[in-house]
Amino acid sequence: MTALLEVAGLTAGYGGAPVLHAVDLAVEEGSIVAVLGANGAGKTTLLRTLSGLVRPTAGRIVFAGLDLRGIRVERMVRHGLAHVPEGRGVITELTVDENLRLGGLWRGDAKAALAEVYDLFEPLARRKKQPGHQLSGGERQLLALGRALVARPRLLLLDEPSLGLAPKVTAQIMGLLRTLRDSTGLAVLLVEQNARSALSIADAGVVMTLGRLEKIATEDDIRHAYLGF
Amino acid sequence: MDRFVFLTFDGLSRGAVYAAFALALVLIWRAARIVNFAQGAMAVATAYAGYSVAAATGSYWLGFAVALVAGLVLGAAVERLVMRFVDHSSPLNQVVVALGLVLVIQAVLGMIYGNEYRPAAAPVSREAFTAGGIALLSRFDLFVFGSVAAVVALLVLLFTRTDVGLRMRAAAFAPDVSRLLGVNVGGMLTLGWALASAVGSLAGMLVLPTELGLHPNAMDIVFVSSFTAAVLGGLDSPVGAVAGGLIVGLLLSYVSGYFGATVAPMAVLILLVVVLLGRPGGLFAKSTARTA
Repeated sequence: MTALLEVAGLTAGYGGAPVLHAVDLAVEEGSIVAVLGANGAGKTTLLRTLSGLVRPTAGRIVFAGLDLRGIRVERMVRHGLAHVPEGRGVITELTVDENLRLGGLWRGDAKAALAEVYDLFEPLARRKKQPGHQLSGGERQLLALGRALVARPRLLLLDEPSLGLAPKVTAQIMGLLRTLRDSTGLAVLLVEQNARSALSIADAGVVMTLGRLEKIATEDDIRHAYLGF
Repeated sequence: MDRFVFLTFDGLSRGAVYAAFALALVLIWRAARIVNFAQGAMAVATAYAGYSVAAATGSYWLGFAVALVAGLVLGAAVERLVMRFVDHSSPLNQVVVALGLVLVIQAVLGMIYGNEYRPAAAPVSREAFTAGGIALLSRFDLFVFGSVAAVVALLVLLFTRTDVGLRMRAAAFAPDVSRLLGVNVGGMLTLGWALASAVGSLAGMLVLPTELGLHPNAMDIVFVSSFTAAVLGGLDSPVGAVAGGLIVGLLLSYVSGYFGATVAPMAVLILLVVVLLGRPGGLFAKSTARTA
């Protein structure tokens, strides 16, 4: 079976200093792949490269049969790829409703998708008119997720959704991702430091160490990735 | 009392123009996070274009329209051809380039039109209506109020009621996130510069008939007053820009009226210093983020 996302030999970095080294990765349709690793391992750079914010210096990114290299960042979402960046990317000056609408503006008519998101995330429906800066961390994460879902993506790139959240909220969000995968066939590439949470819902996991990916099979792999032994 | 009433109306009329010009500064600040020090020179350039057309055709209103369209085009051109290529690693780079643009524009205008003052006619009478012997507002003052109110209303509608306005706000606040959401951030930036420049052109066309006339440096003092207005209101706040413009207009009018016109520029600078020292974010700055 052909994977929804196929990455081969991907090399990228900033200002000539490579961060990713010949990364190979595949994400199947309707699956969750967790990318684990310590700070500075290159996880965020991987997502930024996939969504076009960082230009690769070598390698191939094929999404749903389409070569993504050379496609502008703002066109990615039209092809079904949504990226929720680290720190959630909620635009705090805009209201909840404006943030959500923004997720579907390119579609022309996103009313139905917007209504679905409000049904899915009731706390957001109650806070439609509130500016983003008045939301709690958990609500902001829901908003960022909801905004990505308004675009009805096929693949969600999700960067550290548990960052700064209470374990209970993290568990809710992970549960939500699992539900979305099962009910809509959404594929998720989940970057996390919280290995236990991520692996609780992932169909596959990889560890990133100094810009290189290794498949994981055991707890020893995770311990090695985080503790170095 | 008569004098106070007269100065109040005069100040509000002047303030409306400063408000429009401050609004132009705020638009660019919100879109690109730079203070466009070239705004005054750009406004003068488009006013020259407008008055040239008016002189050639005999129609003030055609010239007025040309000035606004020239503002749109010049703003877009400055963003696409100059500012887009400035290294954004330091905000100072854009300030220096903007100041360079001022010199270039003023030099080119001087070469084309000369450095002497040229008359800048008002489209309607500037003779004030009187009530009980007190001079109040002229037709031109009403035109100024109407124009500025219309621009403010249109901008409010644009930013709060349209998808383009939402895209523009998003692109200004969070460019990378907006791109991920499908927003053409570069296009929104160009549009922001074009709109701001057109609003600046409008302010130029409204203020020049009340000053000495057309001159390459004609907007320099207006720029200082409007910049003060924008800072006073908070560079991020369109409402603040309007309020700041009216406050500065009133201040200038009262100081000119009671202490003499030569003291007025000093009053504006003192106000600017006081605001920067006391409330650098401006009177309408929002405080904000939830911390827990």
